[in-house]
Amino acid sequence: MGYEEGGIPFMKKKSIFGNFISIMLVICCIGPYLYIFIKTFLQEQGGFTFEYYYKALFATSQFLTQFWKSLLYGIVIVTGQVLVSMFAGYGFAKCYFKGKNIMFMTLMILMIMPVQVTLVPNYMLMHQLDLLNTFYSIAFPAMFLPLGTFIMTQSFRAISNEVIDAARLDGCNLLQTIFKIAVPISKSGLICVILLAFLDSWNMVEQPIVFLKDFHDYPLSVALASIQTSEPAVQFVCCLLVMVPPLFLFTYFNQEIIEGIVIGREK
Amino acid sequence: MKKNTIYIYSLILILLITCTIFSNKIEEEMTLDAVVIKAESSPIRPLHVPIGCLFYDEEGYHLYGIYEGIGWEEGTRVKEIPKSEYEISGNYVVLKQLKTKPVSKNMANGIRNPENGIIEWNIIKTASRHPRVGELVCDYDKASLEEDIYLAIYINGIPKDYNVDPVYGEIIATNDNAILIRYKRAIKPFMAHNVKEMLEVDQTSKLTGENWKLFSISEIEEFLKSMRYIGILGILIISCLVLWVVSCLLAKDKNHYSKYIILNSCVIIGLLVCMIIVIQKIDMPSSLLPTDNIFNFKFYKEEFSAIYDSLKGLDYNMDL
Repeated sequence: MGYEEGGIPFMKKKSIFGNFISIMLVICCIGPYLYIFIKTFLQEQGGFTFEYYYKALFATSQFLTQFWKSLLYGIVIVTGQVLVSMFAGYGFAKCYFKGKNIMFMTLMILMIMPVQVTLVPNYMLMHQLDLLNTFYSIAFPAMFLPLGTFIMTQSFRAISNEVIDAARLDGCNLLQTIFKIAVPISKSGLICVILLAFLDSWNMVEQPIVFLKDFHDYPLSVALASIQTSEPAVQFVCCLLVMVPPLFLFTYFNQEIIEGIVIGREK
Repeated sequence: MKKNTIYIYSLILILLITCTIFSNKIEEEMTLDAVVIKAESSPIRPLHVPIGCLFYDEEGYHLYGIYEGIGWEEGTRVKEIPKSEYEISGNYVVLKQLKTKPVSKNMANGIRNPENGIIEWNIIKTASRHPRVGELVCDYDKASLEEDIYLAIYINGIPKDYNVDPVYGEIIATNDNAILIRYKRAIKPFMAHNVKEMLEVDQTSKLTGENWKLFSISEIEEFLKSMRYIGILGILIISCLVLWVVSCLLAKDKNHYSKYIILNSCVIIGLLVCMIIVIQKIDMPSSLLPTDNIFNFKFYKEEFSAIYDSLKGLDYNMDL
């Protein structure tokens, strides 16, 4: 087993080294966030202060207004994308219609394409609909992103047809089958769609810059870069603010995320 | 884990909503009230403004202008005119010839009029308190005139050559360090800087900085009346927090107490709505607010201690 006389056992050395590497990795990952958090409480000359929190959260209403606007974008986009992907996913998974496979292949190809490819066509579409420089120019294109539909299709495909048939025999119509049978079984897929859709909308940069003109309509992901750098600590406070909603989602759905990873590994 | 997440983030949500409500009001209250004038030129004199536009503090005199900010700084804001851009000439401040390009993106030295191409200076003539660079400004075109009582507190004692023009007002009471003056046509909102110019004082006290302070009794009364609403706000915030704690305790037996949790949540929402209504009734005159941080309690303690001591010495009772 690699024991050394009078020394540290080999396996123990290996675990010490492994722990050391793990700690270094954790420091590298969490270090920047800790730095931001600590700097928001330190004055330039040294000393503890809440001044930067006052400047960001009380002295001006702009940061918080932009925060609520970003949250509204996120909630509307997530709700829209969940509804669209649920119905579309069920259609692709459990319904039979002509051209289904071709349409699904097209969906997969669109899913692989980066956002920048569809920016110009979306811009032209929004211009035709006279929705440019409005809330809907951001929300509508994001609601119909193909990734959510793909995830829900795969989740619904995992449900056996016998369960669906049994539900129909019990008198469930299509909507009842989707909401009462299919969705509860595919909870992990739904949570995945919610998380990905929210993170996508919370972190979006290109779409607001292209579709919106007014600075006050920008979400925080774009507006944050324009904060005066003469006081970086105020920017750090806004960074902490930006972290709040994604952190909430990850801590709330923590169990489901881990379960999904474990199930995937077992498969 | 889920329950703890809900507890913590519901508190964060309540605090963020409270901060949003407060920040709107604080931004409104901390906006500087000012009178802005355009610098004029004449055949005798190039671009100039009256010397009364200068503000004095421990560091000397300052001249302030305004500019239109963009992005996060949107709105009319204060900028300081560099001393190299003007000089004092008798009873005027003469502005030197301007650079054609602005010094920085937001802070142009002057704004070019698109009709005639002339660069115009917008200078703060008077303000409710000493301006701070970068803060929001509200330009009062036409201030109203009402009767008011002013309290002048002299840190080093009343100067011997002190006098008040009987056309403007009369001295009601005086002692070694303070004077109460009744003004029949006092400018509203109160702008100490403007009133100091009207009062006849010696040039030494004007140029060496702050050794006397001027307050409006009506604004002090208005400020103190707002305290009751601030007290109500405090009660509302504490009630929200107490209800949150109670909801967290009840949530341990969710099935049994679900109705009470929903009721608590509705009451918290109601309290937040009440907060919005109550905060609209608060009106704190900007002349009595600190320059940098509205929660600078040391500033309030110093100012109101001086005011109360002076009013006690003058035997004057405010109408509250």
